[in-house]
Amino acid sequence: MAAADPPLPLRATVTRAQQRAFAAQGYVPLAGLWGRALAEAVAEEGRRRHAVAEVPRGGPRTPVPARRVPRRATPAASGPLLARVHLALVGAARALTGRLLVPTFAAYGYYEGDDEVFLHVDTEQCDLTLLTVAFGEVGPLHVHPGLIGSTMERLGELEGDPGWDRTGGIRVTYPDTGVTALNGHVLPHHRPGSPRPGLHAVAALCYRSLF
Amino acid sequence: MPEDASQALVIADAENNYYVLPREVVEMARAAPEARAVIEEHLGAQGRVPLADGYTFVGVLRLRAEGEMTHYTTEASWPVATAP
Repeated sequence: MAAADPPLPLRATVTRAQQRAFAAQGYVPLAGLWGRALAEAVAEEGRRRHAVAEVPRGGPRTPVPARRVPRRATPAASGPLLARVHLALVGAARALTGRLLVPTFAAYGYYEGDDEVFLHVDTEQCDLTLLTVAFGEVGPLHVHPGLIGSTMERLGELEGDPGWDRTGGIRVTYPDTGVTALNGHVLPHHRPGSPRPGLHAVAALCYRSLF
Repeated sequence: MPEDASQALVIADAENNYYVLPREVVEMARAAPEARAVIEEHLGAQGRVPLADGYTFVGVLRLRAEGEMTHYTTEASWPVATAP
């Protein structure tokens, strides 16, 4: 580690209460995993990597009617510091889930002017998804236990239904200097979206079960 | 493990510390049948030790560095809405 590098997350302790909450709800906040210096370094890397961000080829694809397709898809980029944080949290990921998880990908997703995320479940790369705000500000994620088991087509139908309550679901905020752990491949989630002037980024760290 | 909410598997380490694994935890860790060969490969030399209630200790799994990174990619991924 170079002298100027911020300290990575320590071997994170996951409490029994957090394990139980994750097992019962499919999500749990893990606050205080890192210090302000690392948060600032991640923010700096996130801003810098925006220059090379592009709409990724992979990831969940929610099929919606043409009128609901957003003007602009969310570009994403990886980064070496985020990758190191990703690897440093493998132990916490395993402790939380009780599964032999391995890292798959870590990325910054960029929202400009709006923070909307369409209803989806994560791909099989994400048996566990850790989410945090890299920089800027985004609204809470809305999770939908009642929609567990729905296909992406069904989730897309809801997104295209003007009668579907886009403010519904359980609101989950990302903790400061920590993550929201999400059973992302199982628990459908979305963010209704609101005007957000400027550039904002969420960092996602995904892990899948090896066996 | 039989259907009994109070049951747990208990193992001990070299210092005789107990580790109590509730049924739910053991069930969550059940590997897919198609993963057997890969698991056995990671176990290396193994000696099966019968425990109780039909359980058998098979070995200690050690992942090599490349095993930890089996599914790793630097390619970013993100949700996107598409027209069907």
